[in-house]
Amino acid sequence: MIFPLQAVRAVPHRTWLRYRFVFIVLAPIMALFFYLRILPTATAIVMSFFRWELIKPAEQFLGFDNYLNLLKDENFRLAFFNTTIFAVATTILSVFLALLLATLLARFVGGRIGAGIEILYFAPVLVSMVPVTLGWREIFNYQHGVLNAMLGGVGIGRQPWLSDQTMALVAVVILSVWKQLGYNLIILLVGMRAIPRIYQEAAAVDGASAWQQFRHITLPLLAPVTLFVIVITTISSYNVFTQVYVLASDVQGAPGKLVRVIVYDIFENGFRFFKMGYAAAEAVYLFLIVLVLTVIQFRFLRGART
Amino acid sequence: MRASGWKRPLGLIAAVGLVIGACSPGATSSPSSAAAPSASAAGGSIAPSAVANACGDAQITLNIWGGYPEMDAVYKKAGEAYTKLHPNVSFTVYSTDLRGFEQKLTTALPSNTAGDVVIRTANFLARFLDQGLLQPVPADLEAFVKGGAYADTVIQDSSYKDKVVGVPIFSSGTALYYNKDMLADAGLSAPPATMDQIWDYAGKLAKVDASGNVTRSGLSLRLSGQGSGVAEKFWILLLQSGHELVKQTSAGHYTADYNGPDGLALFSHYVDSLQNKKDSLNIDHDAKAFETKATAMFAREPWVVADIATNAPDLVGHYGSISLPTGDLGGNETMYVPASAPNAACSWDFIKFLTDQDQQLSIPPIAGWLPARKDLDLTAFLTANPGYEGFLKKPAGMKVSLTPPIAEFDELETKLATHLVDAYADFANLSGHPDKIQALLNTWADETNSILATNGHGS
Repeated sequence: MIFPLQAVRAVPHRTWLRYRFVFIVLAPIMALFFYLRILPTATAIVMSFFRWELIKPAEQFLGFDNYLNLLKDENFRLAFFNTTIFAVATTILSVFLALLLATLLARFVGGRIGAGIEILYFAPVLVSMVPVTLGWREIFNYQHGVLNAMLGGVGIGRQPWLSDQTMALVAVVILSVWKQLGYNLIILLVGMRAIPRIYQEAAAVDGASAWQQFRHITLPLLAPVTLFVIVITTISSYNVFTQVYVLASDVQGAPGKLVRVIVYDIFENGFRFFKMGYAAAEAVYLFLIVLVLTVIQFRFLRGART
Repeated sequence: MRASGWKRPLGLIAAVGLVIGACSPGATSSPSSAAAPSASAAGGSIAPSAVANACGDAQITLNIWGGYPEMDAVYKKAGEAYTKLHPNVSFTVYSTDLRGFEQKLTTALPSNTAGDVVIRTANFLARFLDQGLLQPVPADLEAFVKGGAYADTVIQDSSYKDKVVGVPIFSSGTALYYNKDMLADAGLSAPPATMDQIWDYAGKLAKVDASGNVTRSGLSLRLSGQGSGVAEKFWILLLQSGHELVKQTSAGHYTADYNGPDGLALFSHYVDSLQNKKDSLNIDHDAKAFETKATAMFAREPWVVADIATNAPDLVGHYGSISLPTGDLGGNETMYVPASAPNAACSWDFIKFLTDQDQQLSIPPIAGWLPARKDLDLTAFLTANPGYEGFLKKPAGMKVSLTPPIAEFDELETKLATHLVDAYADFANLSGHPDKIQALLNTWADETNSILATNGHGS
């Protein structure tokens, strides 16, 4: 195993000289990255070992008490459960639907119509989450929402989208998939278009069906892009906050249990209850969860590709 | 050539270093100090009355921060009047929603970047007062607050550790709004005067369609939403039976007070209302429901009167408000000057200006809230705005409760609210089962007492 410092020392002097311009150009952005990302993260880790109030820093060293107390905290366990359900559902649906749409667009639709459809799907990505969620809150409204009106048109009764525990989670997943779909679609579409057509043409000459071409050519060659999309969607799903916060932000809001996602819990402990050390420990847990999931996804998808 | 090739990147690094340095907390200058001239007066120990011209002659901009955007017009109007007296003083007013404002204060006060005058309750600011992040009230203003212009509960609500810590500006309270037409249609000639009548009316005023769905609630209960609001509304109804969320057992010590027989009865009313279709989780609630005639009654603060005039003008004249039977929850927004405020003397002088009777009288018609002072004649205002009757005509012996001055109260109230929301959603399993409800109340009370104990306020 080579440690970073050893690796740096192992670089020949002439290499430093040759790439000095690269290092100099990178230095400012690395300094900013250190200042804005690494330093706050390290500070959060330090905070997590203390009783640290927002306006009373480092009151008392607690060791791992914050971490152990979190494991016993019903709110944290509920938040972890809710977030995981949400993340799994959103990731699976948004990646699967994006893959399906990308395949259809890449295969059957092109030119201006294709570009128009891409813009249509990508548009939600460009809009801020808060107004989007406010709009969806009206769509989900039990009494006068568009969704229930449409369901009524096909003979399905009104659904309590925001007042029932299960339906509320379904509502947030629908909203989030709608928001995420366009981003995933564009990335996968670019990946598909980068695959040389010669492979598919050769397979077609050999008698491969469309499904066989997709299964044995497109999917394996698209694996790195798919991995990227899954990782990004998983990370953003575990960081879900704005949707549930806005959906539950007034008296017409969604039930309390739905609101309890990890970032909301961090926010509440840190900025409402002032328990920054406790919230920092929660943030470290979230970081570890996402890190472990990302490593698993990398190994799984790289293994599948091999 | 080679040397000049190195100079540019080095210059870039130096520039970035300067940017990073400028971004560091120690180098951050507050908006207030940036706007204030260096020669401005400072020092919270100087009482406004002791200074001939508290704002000096140099140009000063005072930043007013609050958590109620509807109050902005009041501050601006007062600011314009103050500028006529002190032409060198100008104002910026910044308000956002209450929760957003609290979060902003939470970071701005410790980093010395808050406004020159900040307006929030003493209860919320208790932590900041403990840390010395807010200036003490000048002696002459403290004497004025205690001098008879304010009710005892308002003074108490503006005090912390037995000392006046801020100057009250406006007050809240809760009344029962009712739709006169709906009451008349149901054969009810007068608004309800007791809690038993309120529950009785709720049943008579609710409407259900042919499919069994509630289309109009009799009494719109607070059943969902984030934060502590659900528990606060439960508390207000609990006050009618003489109980609090937490009651004081000795100085600085409290215990949960909502898990007794009256708490059980009140919670049972909530779940029974849902079970018996007097209210529903699925229909609109609160002011929106009242304005769209989806409810006949609901309890809320005075701002709703102005909201109705704006959003449901056809309702004006067809609704009334009446005081809750025996108890109310007082809420008083109070003015402070941050410890780091550079124009402290001028800020206190403006605060003093806002306590003037004319400024206080401008609050109800502009913002809908009630003035904090009690020595004002609001008769003409009430005649012109009968919707405020429930707030300005209180029965004799009405008990006004206050939020306890303990920093962890928001945490215990918010956690209770989350439990209540979940339990209301489970109404079908709880209605008619007092044993289950009592078990829940006791579990929540244990959590409340645990939070109090952790913070040194347990019994």
